[in-house]
Amino acid sequence: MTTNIENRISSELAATATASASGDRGDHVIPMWKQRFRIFTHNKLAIASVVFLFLLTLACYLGPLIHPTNQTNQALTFGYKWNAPPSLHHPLGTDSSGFDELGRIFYGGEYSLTLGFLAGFITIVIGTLYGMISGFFGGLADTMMMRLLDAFLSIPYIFLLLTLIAVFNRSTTFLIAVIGLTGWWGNARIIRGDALLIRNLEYSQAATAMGASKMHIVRRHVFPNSISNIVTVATFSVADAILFLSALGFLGLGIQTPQTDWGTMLQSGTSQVQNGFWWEIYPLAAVFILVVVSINYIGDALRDAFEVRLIER
Amino acid sequence: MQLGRRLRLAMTIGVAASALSIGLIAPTVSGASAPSGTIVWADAPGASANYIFPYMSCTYFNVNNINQFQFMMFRPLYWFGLPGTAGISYPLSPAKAPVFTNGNKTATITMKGWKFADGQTVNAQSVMFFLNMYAADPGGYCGNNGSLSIPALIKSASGHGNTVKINFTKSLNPGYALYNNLSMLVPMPKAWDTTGGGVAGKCSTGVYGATSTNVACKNVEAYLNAQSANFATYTGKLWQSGVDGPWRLTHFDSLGNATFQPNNRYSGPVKAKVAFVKQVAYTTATAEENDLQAGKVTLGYVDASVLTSPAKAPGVAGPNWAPLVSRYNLLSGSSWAFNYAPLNFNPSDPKAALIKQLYVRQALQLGIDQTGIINNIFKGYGFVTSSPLPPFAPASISAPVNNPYPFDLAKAKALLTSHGWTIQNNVQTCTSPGAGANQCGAGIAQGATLSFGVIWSSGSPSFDQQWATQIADWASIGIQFTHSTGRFNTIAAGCASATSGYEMCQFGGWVYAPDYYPSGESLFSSQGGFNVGTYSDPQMETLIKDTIFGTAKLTAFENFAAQQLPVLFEPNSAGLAEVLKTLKSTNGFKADPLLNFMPEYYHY
Amino acid sequence: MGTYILRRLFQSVIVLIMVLLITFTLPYFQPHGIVAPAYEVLGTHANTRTVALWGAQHGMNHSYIVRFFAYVNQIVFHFNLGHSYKQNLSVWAIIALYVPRTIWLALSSLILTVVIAIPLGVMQAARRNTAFDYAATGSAFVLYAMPSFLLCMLMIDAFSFHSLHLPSSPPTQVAPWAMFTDPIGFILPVASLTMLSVAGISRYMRGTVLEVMVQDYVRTARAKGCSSRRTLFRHAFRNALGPIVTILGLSIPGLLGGALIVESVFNYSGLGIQTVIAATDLDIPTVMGITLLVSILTLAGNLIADVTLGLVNPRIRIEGTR
Repeated sequence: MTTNIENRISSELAATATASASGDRGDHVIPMWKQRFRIFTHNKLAIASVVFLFLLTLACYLGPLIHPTNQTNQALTFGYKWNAPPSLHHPLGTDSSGFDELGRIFYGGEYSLTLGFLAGFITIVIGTLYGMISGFFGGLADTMMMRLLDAFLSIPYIFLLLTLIAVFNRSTTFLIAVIGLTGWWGNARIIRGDALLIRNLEYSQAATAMGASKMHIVRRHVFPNSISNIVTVATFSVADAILFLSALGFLGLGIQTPQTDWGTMLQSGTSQVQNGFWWEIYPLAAVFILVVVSINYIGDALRDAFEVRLIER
Repeated sequence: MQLGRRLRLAMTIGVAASALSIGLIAPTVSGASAPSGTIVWADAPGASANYIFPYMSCTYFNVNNINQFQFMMFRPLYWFGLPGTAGISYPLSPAKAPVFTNGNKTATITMKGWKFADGQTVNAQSVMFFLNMYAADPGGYCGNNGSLSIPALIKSASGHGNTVKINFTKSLNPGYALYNNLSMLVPMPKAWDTTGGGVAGKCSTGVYGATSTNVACKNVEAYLNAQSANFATYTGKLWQSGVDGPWRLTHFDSLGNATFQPNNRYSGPVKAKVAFVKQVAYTTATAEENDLQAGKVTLGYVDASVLTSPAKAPGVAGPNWAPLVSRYNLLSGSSWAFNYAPLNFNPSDPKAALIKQLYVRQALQLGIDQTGIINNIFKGYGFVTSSPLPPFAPASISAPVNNPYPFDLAKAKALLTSHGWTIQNNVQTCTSPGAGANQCGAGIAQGATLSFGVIWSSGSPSFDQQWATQIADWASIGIQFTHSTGRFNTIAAGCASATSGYEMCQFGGWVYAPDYYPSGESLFSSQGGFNVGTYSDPQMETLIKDTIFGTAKLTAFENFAAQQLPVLFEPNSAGLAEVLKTLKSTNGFKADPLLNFMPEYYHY
Repeated sequence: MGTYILRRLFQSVIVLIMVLLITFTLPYFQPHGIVAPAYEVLGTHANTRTVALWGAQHGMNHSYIVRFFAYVNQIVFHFNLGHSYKQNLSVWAIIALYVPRTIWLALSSLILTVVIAIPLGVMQAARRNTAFDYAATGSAFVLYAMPSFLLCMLMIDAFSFHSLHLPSSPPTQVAPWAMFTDPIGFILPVASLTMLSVAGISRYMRGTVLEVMVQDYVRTARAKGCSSRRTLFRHAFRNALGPIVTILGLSIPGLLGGALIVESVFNYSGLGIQTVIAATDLDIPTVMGITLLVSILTLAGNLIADVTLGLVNPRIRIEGTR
């Protein structure tokens, strides 16, 4: 888990360093966003991913209207069969507690997706603010903020997260907050690197020379120009948050009954593999992997779209 | 001792597991073939032994250290744990049955003269060693229960040759004295009476309670605790010369893996028949299940969630898990425990007036579908609980208790209606306040609602499912609950606090060990050390006193508790053991509710 | 260079003090504050008296400041991380027991990862947009998107139960060199851990090599008539190695903590599992000891990576001092 995330972070770092080094953005005749949009839409996989994610989210929230099942009241499942194979009534069978598997994928998806998106959103908001402030203002503030960030980064992420979750009660809100509040460090570094580079570019220096205020430069130059990285990093943050939540589910620290999430479901599904109840694991595993792959594809496509040299190509 | 603790340890890794050891009492078996073969026993996840000195503090006072580790080497004065019950076994004890005289104010214990591994006799001095240490530092031993236990209850004690004589300060119920006090004594060898460097101490030989003895004992205790903090000493001469049980420890590592070999000088009736017993530590139940499938484990456990067919009857295992069917037999059993949810009786709690009403507690208890929960969530591996008396209790301590409040939602609803409650906006609301027989009761205002808060310990999926069921059933008759989950410290505090917002809590259950007597002094007496919800009732006090200082059996107390509901009784899940089919026992296999591990009965 | 290293060292010490402060202060915020572990340790034996006694035994009736300086003093001058609340072991003993176990596991999979992922990434970059590239990228994406416990369980299911019949767990021995005496048991855990990290690193390597290949000097080299293979290895690969050094430096906490899921599925008790157990048991001294150790290792890793890069590329050195 952590290995992946650390790799991801460092890969962002390196990508940022090289991507920004070319530094010739912002002087095109055709509006930038149009070009970027065109590049993005040329990537068929990315479009497919967007469509898939959209449909899946829709299914999770609207699916229960078409295929209504009881997913919360254990007492009502007492009449049901556990581990029933797929049938007309239960298209994907039932799980070891007797809950309808398809309905449960919808139900768990609501939590996994919502938590993933919200936690990812928090990491990017905090990361952006912190990185911008640190990178742009520089000097003592930057040094201190970066050393604090080093301190956070050198505490193994998963350890801190586990300590927090073990020590405090874990409600859904708390899970979002804790994943969000501990996940922004890598993002802050990337954004800060970006801000640093943009600040030193000619046009912002020119703006400073012309007497523009610092806030003005952040608003007019730094933020719009690092939006590419922000959006890309945000995408990956969501994927990471979803993966992280699943690891917590495996460790028994995920969302609690009667609520559920995909990680917790996969965990209980894997214990049924030996029984041959494939419907309790493979459909959900496929959905899960497709979701994370889709988000990553979108992230990659966004990065390509923002990649200046690729625009020239 | 607390049941949930151990369960939650297993939960921390995400998978539920409760180990169950298979013990058995058999007549002496002759047959002197040399021990051969190896038994591999799987520890429950995160529950491996880590302390060897039997006189220990609460940090290490648990089943893993006592019943499944120390007892294999160091036999307690009295052995408890028979197949299916927690009864006493005199043949397996190094002492004969205690004789109570002088109006139950004196107990006389006669030792059988068993031998320690170093050739010394297990005699009165060995018992006095423990008693002297207990008198010197009662707080150092976790089994201490203040004024309700020895040494506070001992006026004088002395030992000569094979006879120990204990004079109590007042007359004690023999059952209580035996099950809750004498049961905790572990005869200790002279070899341990030292402060190191071969210097003999005076703890085992001193006069009971004398200042000089106390000083000597505290020094010895400190030395032995320090030795016990060093795993390297475990297989050394100090500890192993004090072995009087059937097994001696020959390997121990900091991961919790242990290897035992037969103690050839064991004087008891059942001698070891296999050459090696290995206890293996596990990180998760799933990892252990994988090893079972590979046939690497002789005695292991599975979680009920993997089973596809239910139990045949309470305590009787159903079909085994498919991947294990060819190699293992599935066994189930009861534990010497009961499961319950404390109620918050704190008079300042805003809902105190409601909880105080017996009919409200009855309605809540009637709303718990114990059979449904056992059959559907525990896959049939569990016991309906209706009193603090554990399943299969021997008749010598209490007659069985009938369940006064089996699951009946209609009856629960009618009970509330007859006391002036009406469902408004889905919640029972008091529409007939007053103290009359058909009114809500004293202190309950017009418009009061039956809406409560509950907190239970986090981390166990089946626990969560159980509570989800109960809350749903209660909601269907208009009793609404808001819920939360937390750690043990939060839960215990929450159920006693007036401001926590919780009227009910649950952290697991209560295992009667090594205070084996299922009496109520800790749980339901107003002075009880673990009366979580601060329950208090004068008649309960009288009944409890009678079980300790009188001569009564537990029957009256158990029935009163079942009827009065000082706590809500919850279904008790049963452990599941897997036994390799090639393993034999001298008298079949049956679960020991006290979780003692007794591999001396096994052979191939 | 000397002043640069000194400066980085000084900054690392500051960071360490911050880590200490964070981990030391955090337990104060839990319900019941710093005596909360007493409830975990004592269980049903916990009452006001025993908890107070336990607190006094562990020096918790002192003020925050006194406790903090006592802790620092104990670490710095006595090299003592304290005693676990729960296990009958000192924190040092726990570290000495589990760190080597985890390091062997992590190191062997790291070496395998580097050996597999770097050539794979370079080859993908060289044969960009071929079937090979798509297949490799696709597998990397799937592996990356799969929860690690799922991969591990499927590995066991496939290679332990349905074919090959490899052991599903390494032998239970304390000795960290069990890997060499009984390697069969380590095949599945090492393979799983390797697969998980190959996914990330090969993808990253592919990206980096691609980035480098469009740089001016590579284009120049090509224009000058260098063979494509020579360009790839002489220039692109060598220049992409820099970030790999950074990655290795950054992946140390991942190495120690990231094996957590693998350790837990394959029943290999290591540092990751111990941390989870310590955290859930509120075994604060153990959690703090391990955190401190991993922080030091991470900082050292970063420092070494930066210094190495600084030696190779002076531009970065200037960047770093800013």
